[in-house]
Amino acid sequence: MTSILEFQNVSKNYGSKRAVDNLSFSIEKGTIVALLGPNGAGKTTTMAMLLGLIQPTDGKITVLHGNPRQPATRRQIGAMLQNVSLPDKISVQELLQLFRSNYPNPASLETLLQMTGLTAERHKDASKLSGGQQRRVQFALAMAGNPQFLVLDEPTTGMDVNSRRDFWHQLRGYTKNGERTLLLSTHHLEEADAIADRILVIQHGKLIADGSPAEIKAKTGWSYIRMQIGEGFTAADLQCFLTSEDECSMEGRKVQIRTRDSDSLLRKLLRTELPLSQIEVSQGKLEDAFFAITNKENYEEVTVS
Amino acid sequence: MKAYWAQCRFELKRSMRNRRLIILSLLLPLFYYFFYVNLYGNSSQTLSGLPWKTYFLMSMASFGTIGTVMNSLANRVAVERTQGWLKLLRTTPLTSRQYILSKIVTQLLLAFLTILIMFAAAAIFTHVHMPIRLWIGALLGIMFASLPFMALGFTIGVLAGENAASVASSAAYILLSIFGGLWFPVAIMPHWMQHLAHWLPTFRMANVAWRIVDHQFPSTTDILLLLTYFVIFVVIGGLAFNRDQKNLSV
Repeated sequence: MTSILEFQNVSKNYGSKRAVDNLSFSIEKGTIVALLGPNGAGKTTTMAMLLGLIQPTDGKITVLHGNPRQPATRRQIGAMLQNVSLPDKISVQELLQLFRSNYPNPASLETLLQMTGLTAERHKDASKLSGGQQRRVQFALAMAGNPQFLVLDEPTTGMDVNSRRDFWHQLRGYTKNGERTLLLSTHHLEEADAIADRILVIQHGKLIADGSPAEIKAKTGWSYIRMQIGEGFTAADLQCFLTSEDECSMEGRKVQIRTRDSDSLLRKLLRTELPLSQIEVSQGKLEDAFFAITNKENYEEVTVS
Repeated sequence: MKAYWAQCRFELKRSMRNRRLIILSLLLPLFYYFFYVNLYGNSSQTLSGLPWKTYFLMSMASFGTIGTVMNSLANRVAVERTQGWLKLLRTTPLTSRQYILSKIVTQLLLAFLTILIMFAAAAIFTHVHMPIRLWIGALLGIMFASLPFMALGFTIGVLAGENAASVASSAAYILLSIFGGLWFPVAIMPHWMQHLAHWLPTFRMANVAWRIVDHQFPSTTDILLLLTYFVIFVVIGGLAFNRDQKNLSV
């Protein structure tokens, strides 16, 4: 396996504040990697460094065996950034043509328009499109050079549910044959769970978890049992089966129990005469693991990026 | 090379589509030109040995050119720098040099069009007559002399935010034009203002054109001063640009 991206003891200081702290990891060719972390964890700084937009204070970054500041390296990278306003007085198609002209083997114009669903908007002024459409234009710009390595910082911000679903579908198509590599950050954790082969969690500029979505979820040691409970019963009726560590919550008739040992708890519950139905055991959502790993209770701290 | 021309075409398209800006920056110099030429007589008056209408055409062509090349550049660089477009371009193989060169080529073409329109309007409506080589010489002279103003516009765009850039470049435009003798001939200024005017790039720009249409080559002082201003603004703008690009806020 060739490594596409390599961070060796990379740090970045802004004045006295350390945004990225001795970060080391590498990304193998053909993988889809999601970079997660609470607001201000250093995700955007990490992406800006690997794109060569800012210089690390310490350490070494190798992208596609080269330096991200060199045009030769940049020819193989496509990027989607946050907070970019598209220029005015220029159509979607003209923007795409401009970007295509920068690369030796660009994707065809029709392919780009089709894959981003912008064929009908091709002659419209790019700066006058809706937020979600502009995001799609930026995705098309990132894909213009047929990149080996695609870097997407919060790509679905501003997109509605349908656009997001189409977007992830397109992305899967992009890496399907394992030839191309994708690094993305997102605050939609369920989407990261669905698309990523590997998840990197960073906090305070440090790598605090690294693994497949299943490994990350198992890391917390918690399992979740969800079920329906019949009329006249409440969560309190289950309390006697739980250990002091377990947590039980109820919403309507739906009960959720968080436990370390789902096997023995389940055995106990099934032996009772309680009217339990639709029982479901899972490792929990990535979200649950994420909160446990980063010690964040407040969802806002995670979602606002 | 392909990328470079595509970038130039892209910049040009955007500039040419900004008709409001082009019309506005041409309207004022054209209005001034016709107003003053009619006011002070269309016939016999001369200034520095030139017919008044020819002299003032060179002043206003210089004034109009600065308006089209400097203000739009300052504003555009400020917007692209602060609103992420430049950041996105930097993730592509396009180099800073190509980005800046494409801007210069575009502004030079805008300068060319501005001067052409002003000259054509004056030739048609106020009957300014000169041998064709003088027209061409003056056109090239003003284009050359617009370089320091492009560099100044670029520098303002790098140093100031979007709104501040518009204000700063407009203020520089008007003040430099008045004190450089583009609105009123230097000859009618008080002594201290004349002295100041001779140091300003605006006076030197127009002086290149005045001398050319008077069958003279531009003076060494004109060329040296314009080049000096150009180098100063390029150095300041270049340093500020590099600093800005190193400390990108992400």
